[in-house]
Formats: sequence, structure tokens, C-alpha cells
Amino acid sequence: MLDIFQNLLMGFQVALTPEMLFWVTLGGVLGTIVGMLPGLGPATGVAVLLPMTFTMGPTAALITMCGIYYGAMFGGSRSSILINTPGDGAALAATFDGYPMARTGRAEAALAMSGIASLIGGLIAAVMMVFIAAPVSRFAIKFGPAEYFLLMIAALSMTASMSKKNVVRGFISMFIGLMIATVGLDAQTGTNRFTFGIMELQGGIDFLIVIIAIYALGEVFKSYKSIQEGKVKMQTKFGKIWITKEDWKKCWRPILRSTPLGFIIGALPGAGGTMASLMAYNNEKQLSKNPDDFGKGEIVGLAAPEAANNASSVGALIPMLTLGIPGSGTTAVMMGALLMLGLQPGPLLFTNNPDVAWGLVASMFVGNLILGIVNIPLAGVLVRVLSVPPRILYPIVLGLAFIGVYAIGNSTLDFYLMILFGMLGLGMEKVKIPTAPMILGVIVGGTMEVAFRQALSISNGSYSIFVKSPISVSLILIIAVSILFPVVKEWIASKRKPLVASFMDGEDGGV
Amino acid sequence: MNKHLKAGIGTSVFGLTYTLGAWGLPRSTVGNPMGPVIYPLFLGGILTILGLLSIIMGIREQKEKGVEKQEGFKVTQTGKLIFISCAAAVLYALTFQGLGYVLATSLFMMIVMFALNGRKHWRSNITVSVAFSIGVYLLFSNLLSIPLPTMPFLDI
Repeated sequence: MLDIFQNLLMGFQVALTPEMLFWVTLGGVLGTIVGMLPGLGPATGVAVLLPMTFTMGPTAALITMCGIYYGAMFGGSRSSILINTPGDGAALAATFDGYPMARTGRAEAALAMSGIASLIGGLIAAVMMVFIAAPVSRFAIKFGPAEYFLLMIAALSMTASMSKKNVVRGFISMFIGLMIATVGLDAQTGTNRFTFGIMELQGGIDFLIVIIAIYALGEVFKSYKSIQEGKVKMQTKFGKIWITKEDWKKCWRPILRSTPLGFIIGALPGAGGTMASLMAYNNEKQLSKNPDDFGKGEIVGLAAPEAANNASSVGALIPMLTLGIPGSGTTAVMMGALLMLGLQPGPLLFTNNPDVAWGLVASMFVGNLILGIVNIPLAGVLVRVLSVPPRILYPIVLGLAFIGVYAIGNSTLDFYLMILFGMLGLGMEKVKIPTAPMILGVIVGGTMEVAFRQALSISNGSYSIFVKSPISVSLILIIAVSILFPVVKEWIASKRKPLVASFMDGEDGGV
Repeated sequence: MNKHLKAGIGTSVFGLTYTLGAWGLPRSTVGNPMGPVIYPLFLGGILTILGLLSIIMGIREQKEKGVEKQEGFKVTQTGKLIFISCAAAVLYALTFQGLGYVLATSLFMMIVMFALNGRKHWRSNITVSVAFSIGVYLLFSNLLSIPLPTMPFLDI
């Protein structure tokens, strides 16, 4: 217990230096701006702003990216409230009551409440993170390659089976991702695999290129549709952005209830912020004395999902940091960034790089506070970005995507790869194959194969090593359940359609 | 053709090609000769099976709901914009080294901006494109010290 506080104190010493404060604020503001763009969420924010961090040290880069991540979460709900267009899936629930509030002249209260709820949700979740992260990583350190391989399969199959209604499509996406990861020189034997004689491919396809292609190129292309649809008129003049005492009285309990819910759902691979916020919303609606007010500008219906959303974004970092397995597209991007910095997220991160790991945890507190400060009083200024037409902002995001890819490999071959993967992403969306499992596959694919082959060489080629330890057996059970779960879910849903379908439909790859 | 069928056919063709490709990979000369091949074989095999599953689901759905009306290939406005952007991106990749970052980027951004923002706003299109290119160039070469290709003849 004591060492947790000592470590955290050390983390705060890292996070509270003026330099780090500057980076987290800058990341937060830029993330908020990207997050506010319709259709673009935290994953895009981190992917596009990544090159900014290339020359920073690992700690600064990581903290900046966390700022971008939280900023984009905060920003997503701004556009939900003001123009009824969620910045990303997780901000969807904020449109239900946030937009009606803005239309009935309560935009100030809505903006303030979404900021306050996010802040409280994020802070409490960060406290929970402090107590959970270290024990989980201590447990995972005992894993051998066979267990580690199975753990990765378990996380991937949970994501694949939960990301969309159809489990087969989720797995298709996951395997495509794993295949992309096999391109290049095999590190253990020096065999060229799927390089087609192209020298640049020997180093493999950088996962960052796939990430930027899917989240920057693909998402922007998808958002082109919104350019033609007319724009909703937005309120640009605001009074004092704050809430009343009655608002607070009504909301503090829902916020406290939704935070742990969001945190737990966020920590599960595949579930993510969209599901967390929609569940929190449905929950409060059922608990409310007057559920009919929901959807008409009930402030509780805004506060609860916002708290859950931010709590889940903190929870989602747990599997990524402690196990090295990202549970959502956004955390996959964060993990890609960590790998790029030469840090291997996983159980060893907390022992090998305690300054980075705990600095990051501490920066969650600092980052959430700063974003609260930036977003509540300054909301009126920041939302001006929303009045800049997306027609101008989207090309800029594209420009940033290309410069980012160039900065990674200094090669224009990567441009073609990016265009290719961007189109692949669009094509997959067209036939309703989710892209998030593919991203996860690309990121963990390399490590997964290494673990697979290590396990087999330990056992001299016998596959029985994968069922030897009790941990392996329980992981196999989890894999089986996560494959069967959607089938059962569908069966139950066909029995009581309206209830379950209403929120199971909403999730979208846990972006 | 419904989405299951389309996804299934695409996936199984890709899976099969990948599996054959994996089988054709050179065997390793060190350690287990199958070392680098086994894992890709697994991946390819499973993806092919998943593709076939998707095809079966597609056929079942077709039986239940009847054959979906085949929509003619229609070029939507969004599709056109995406095509223009991709073409501009390929052009960007081709000119990047030759023209240098600032010129190539300005050109790329202008094409996309004119397509998205319309000719009417030509002034803001050009201003944003050029300002973005110069801004990013200065940021990268001076602050982040990542060298970008320079313009021909001029060292900027």
C-alpha cells in the first residue's frame, strides 16, 4: 500500500513539472479541437497528432498523448451538445439530452455539466486505476509465453465478438490485422515473408501507417458525407458557463453511480466508451422518477453518460498498460505510440520504467483537472472551432496524416500503403466489417507470433503446452465464452428485442 | 448479393491466396524449417474458414429474405470526393520528392480543398493550403528537426 503512494508521489513529481504541464495542456487543447470535428474521435486525434511527439522524450510524449486522448473525449461531447453531431461513438449519448438542452436555451448548463461530470468521472477512475494497475501487472508477470499467447487471443476475441453484432465479421477483421503483421523479415529466422521483393517491406508494415490510414484517412473520407448534409445552426454567444445548485443536487448521485460502471466496462477489452455511456444512460433512465423527461433535455441524462465515458477511457488503459493488450481502437493507437517510443507496455512496464508508468497515472489526475479548467470556463472560446466549416478542417487533417506517415519512415512508399489501407478500411465498412479488431491484430500480431513460437519451442513442438496450466485452461474458457456469447446474445435478443437491441446496436468498435 | 456474401467471397479469396502464399514461403535454414510458416498457415486457414462461414450465412440470408435487388453502380457525390482525394494523394506521393514538401503539399491540399470547399472560396482554399504547407515545413525542419524534401533549386 505504502509503495503505491510512494510511486504515485514520484509520478506527480514527473507530471507536475512545468514542461509536462505545458505538454498536457497543449495536447488537451489540440485533442479537444480534433475531437470536436464531426466523426473524428480520440483515435483520430492521437493518430494525427502523433508526429508532434516524435522528438520528445518518452514520458513527455506519453503525457502529451494522454492529453490528446482526454481532450478528444471532452471535445466529442461539445459537438454533441451544440450541433447534435457526436465527435465519436462514445459521445453519442451526449446528444440525447445535451442537444435538447442547448435548444431550450440551456447550452451553458449543458456544457458545464458535461465538463464537470467528465472531470469527476475521470478523477475517480484515476484513483481506481492507481489501486488496480500494479496488482494486475504483478499477476501477469507470472505468465509464460503459452499463457501470454492465449491471453492475447482472449482479448482479441472479446474485442472481435463485442465490436459489432456479427461475430464472424469481427474475427475476419482480427485475422486480416494479424496477417498484416506477418509481412516483413521474420525476426527469428531471417526469412522474408510476403515482401514481394520490395526492400522497404522487409522491415514490415508499420502499424502506425495502418492506424493513421484507418483513423485519419478512412474516417475523414467517411465524414465527407456530412459536408453535403446541411449544417445545423450553432449557438455562438454564451452566458456564464456554469450549473445551478438544483442541477448539481440532481446529478451528483448519477455521476457517482455511473463512474464505476464506466470504469469496469472500459477495462473489459472490446466494450469501450460507447457501450459504457449508453449503459449509464439507460441505467439512470430506469432509476429516474420521471423517465419521460429523458431525451427532452434532462440534465441527468447528460451527466451520467459523460461521467461513464471518461471513466471508461481511464479503465481502458488498464489492459493496455498492465498486460500490453489494447482493448479498443483508441488504446491500440496509444499502444502503437508507446511501442514507437521503444517502450513495451505490459507487466514489465511498471517495474522497468516506473517513472513512465506512474508519471502517466499521475498525469491522468493532472490532465483531467487541466481539461476541466480549459473546457469549462473556456468552452465558449473553444467551440468557435465548430463554426469553422469542416470542409476546411478535413483537408488539414489529411495533410497532417500524410506528414505523420512521412515522419515515421521517411519514405513515400508509405503514402501508397496508407492510401491502400485507407481504401481497405472504407471497403470493410461498406460490407459491415468493423475495423477496430484489425487495428488490434496489427499491433499485437508480432508479439503474439513470438509468444506462440516461444511456447512451441519450449514444448518441443507439442501443442499440449497451451492446455497445461490452470491459467491457460481458464483463458481457453474465456475465449470459448467470448465466441459463444454473441450467439447467445442474439438468441436472447430475438426473444426480447426492444430492450436489448436498443443499446447493443449502438456500440461501434469501441472507438 | 448481400453484405455477408460480398464480405465472404472477398475474405475467402484473400484467405486462400494468403494460405497458398504462406505455403510457398521459403523454409527456414535454421531451427525448425517450418518455423516461420506454421503461424501464417494457421492464420490463412482460419480466415478462409471464416470467409466460407460468411458465404454460408449470406446464402441462408438470401433464402430467407430473397435476393437483394442489385443496385446499379452509382457514383455518389461522396464517392467522387473520395476518388479525387485518393488521386490527389497518389499525385502527392509522386511529386513529394521532386517538388519538395511545400510545393507538393500546397498542390495536394489545393486539389482537395477545391473539391470539398468549392471554387467559390478559392481565396481561402489557396491561403489555407499554402499557409499549412509552410507552417508544417517550418515546424518540422526547425522545431522538430525532421528534414523534409526541399524545393528544386531553392534550399527551402
